[in-house]
Amino acid sequence: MREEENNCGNCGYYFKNIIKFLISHIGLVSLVIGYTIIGAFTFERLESDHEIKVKQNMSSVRKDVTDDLWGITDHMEVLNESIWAAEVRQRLKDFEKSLIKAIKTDGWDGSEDTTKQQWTFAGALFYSIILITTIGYGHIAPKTDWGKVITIIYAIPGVPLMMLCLANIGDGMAHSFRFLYWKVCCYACTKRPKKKRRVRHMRGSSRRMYDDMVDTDMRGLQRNRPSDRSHQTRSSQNSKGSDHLTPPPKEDDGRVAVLFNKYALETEGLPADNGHMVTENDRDIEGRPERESKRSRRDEDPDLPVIHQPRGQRTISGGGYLDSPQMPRSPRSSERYSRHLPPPADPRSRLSRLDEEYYDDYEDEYDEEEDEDFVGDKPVPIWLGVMLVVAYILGGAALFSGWEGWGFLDSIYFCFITLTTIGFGDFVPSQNINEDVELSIALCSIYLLFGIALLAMSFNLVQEEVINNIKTMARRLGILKEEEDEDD
Amino acid sequence: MQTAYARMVYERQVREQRRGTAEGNRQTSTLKTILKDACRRLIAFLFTQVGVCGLVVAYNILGAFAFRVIEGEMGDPRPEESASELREHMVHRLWNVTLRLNVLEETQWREEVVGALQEYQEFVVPLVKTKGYRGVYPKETWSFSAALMYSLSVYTTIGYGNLAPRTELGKIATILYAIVGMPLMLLYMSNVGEILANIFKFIYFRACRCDIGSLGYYRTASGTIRPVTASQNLRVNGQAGSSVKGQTGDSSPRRTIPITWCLLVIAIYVGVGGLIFAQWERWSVLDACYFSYISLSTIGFGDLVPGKTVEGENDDQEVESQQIICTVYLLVGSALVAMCFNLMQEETIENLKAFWRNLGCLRKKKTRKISVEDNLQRPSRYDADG
Repeated sequence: MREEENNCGNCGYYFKNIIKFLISHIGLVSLVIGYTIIGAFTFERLESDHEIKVKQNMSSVRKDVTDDLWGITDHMEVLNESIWAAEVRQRLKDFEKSLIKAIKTDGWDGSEDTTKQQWTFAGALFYSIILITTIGYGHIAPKTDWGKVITIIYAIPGVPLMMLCLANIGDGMAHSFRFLYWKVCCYACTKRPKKKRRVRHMRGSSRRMYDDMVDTDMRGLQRNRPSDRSHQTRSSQNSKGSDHLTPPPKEDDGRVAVLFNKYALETEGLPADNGHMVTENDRDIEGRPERESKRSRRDEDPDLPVIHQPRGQRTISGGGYLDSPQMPRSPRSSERYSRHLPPPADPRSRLSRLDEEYYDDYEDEYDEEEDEDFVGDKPVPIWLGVMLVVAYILGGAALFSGWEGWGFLDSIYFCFITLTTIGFGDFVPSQNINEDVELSIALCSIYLLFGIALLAMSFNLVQEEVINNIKTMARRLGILKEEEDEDD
Repeated sequence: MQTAYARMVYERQVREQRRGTAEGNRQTSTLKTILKDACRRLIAFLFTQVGVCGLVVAYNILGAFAFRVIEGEMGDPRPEESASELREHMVHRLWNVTLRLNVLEETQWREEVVGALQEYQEFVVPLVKTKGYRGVYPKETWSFSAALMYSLSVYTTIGYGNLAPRTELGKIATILYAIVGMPLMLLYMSNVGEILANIFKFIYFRACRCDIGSLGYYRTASGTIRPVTASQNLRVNGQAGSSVKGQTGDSSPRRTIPITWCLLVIAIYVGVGGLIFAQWERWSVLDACYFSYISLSTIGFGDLVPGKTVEGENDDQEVESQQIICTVYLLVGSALVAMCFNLMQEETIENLKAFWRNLGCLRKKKTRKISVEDNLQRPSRYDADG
């Protein structure tokens, strides 16, 4: 029995690891690729014959028209031009309609050459990708009954799978981007070399900082520096509105003390005055960054305390953050500060400029050790996220306008419509060019897949700020209550 | 957009969880605060739920009017004029052929005519494919209801493509319309989806008589009434209203709606839509269901679209009302899809958690007692082994 248990336990363990891998980036991407390839094979088998039939049908359509025209001509005993012309005109209009119908509804690609098909393997692959990203151009679509049924069945798991994959990639990219951004930004910010001034600065501003930032919670913690844990639990209950923080884990006892020791070391005469707490919210998306931040906390400098800050209450902290209009302060440093200390109870506290500088300088000292760990919740300015997307669209537009010969506005329009997954289908790559259809399709697919991931990434990066901005506005308008989170 | 929506739903649910834990910490409120609370809730409700619905409909109508003017009245008739010219040219040419072959030798006449038609075809096809020629002038194509459907297809990201902007102004307007409309749609889906999900849960739990209190709501310690979400199940059991009996020991009450039910709801909706459209548009039932599904999933190929944008055989009034009803159908359908998304996500997360827990507990089985399994929410797959 025990051995069975062991084996099953091992199975479960390995299974779990396998699943973890599957859900990891690479696994997911390969899954999606595999899925689209399966789709490509399937749809090519199903639709290729029908397309050939439609093509062959066009010549018989022409023949029908000819027959009708002959009939018109033949039946007129006296050829009157205007009457004859009227009837022929009408017949030509009907011919046009049948052409339009063939293109729009029957999936005809416009040429009767049966060697050049839309439903090649590449075309079917393109179709699968367009289908499960929900873009749905429509220039190539299933016309057989089986094709339609299989499309529906294929899309049901395919769409969430693709969404998951792209969101995953987007999140990974957002993480790296944030990291890069703050590396670059803080390198630029803290380039000023004033080391000596920094110490003085810290001392000078520390008092001010603590004037501003300490509230009862901190006071409680500081007073309890030696040992007492009860205040920390009390502080959690003091937070209005919601569970700002869970009591720090037991093993952080010594760590909490050390933090304040550290502050004390930097800044003599640490005042424990009353005042408002600094605000920096945990502005990030709940599920994933929680993972990240936990991980980063474990990795970070053991001297600094690890206090778990649940990210549930963005509203209050967010409101506080946005009430202080001195953006951009160095959110990284202040965020790190807040990582160590409990979030503020009063959402309207403000952070003075000198405190920002304090943070800059303070943070600079610990730059090397804690760099990567504080990437998780950094807010990236909205304009940066927007600029990224706009740049991508413009770049793509330049590319497609050159490659496909469209106008620049048309290309911008195409890129926008594609990336937002609207996908009208009035502009589709590989429709005009007769050679290199596959290259065109490949280019387009890569562009749109990466673009959607990029969109996910930008959304990830700026979502918090946007939502907080909206919430502040709503709160100012009196629509939202302060503590209540009525809406997203 | 669906990615974004999924993320929002997930956050909302986690937030609900957190809020649930915090309930106990709220202070009791006085009568005045209760009234103020109620007032604010009312305003917020109007603004966020009902208001958003109205906002979306208004936005849609605004878009319809705007695009009707931009693309209909100020539209670009060049493809139609081109085609018209071509037709005239072709008629003239055929007349010349007919005149020339005085004896009307059929075969030769046919040959020449077929050749002419082929050339004609080669002119018309690019017009259709790249210039959006549809055989109807823009003023008639862009009726109010067609523009309504077009606007809908933009901000829901369905994007049929049977109607597409030709003018530059139209393209820019489409881009702007989408930029504003998509977040609005997201808001709508999230709000209305949540309401529908709560209603559905209420009905479902009542119908299956699960012990969640006589309503799908429970009263917290502070007196506020909150709907029950999946994650609150075990906590709720102890606090629920008087109809809960002896639930404290129960280990696995069902608090999420099974995925099959959600899929069933969507399938029924697609089926109903399919039947309606099959009737109206004279499509086959499969085609109509395929259309419903492709639209609701926002794929939106555009090969099958209600309303005769290619040519009008039906009465115009009829076509217009059908298109308007289709728009409403799609809006409601989007909310339903959002609701199902909501519910399925809850359920999937619960399942995954339980599954993970099962796997995790299995690993630790060597070091811990077997009794760990008794506390699992769902029966372990290794139950048979011990």
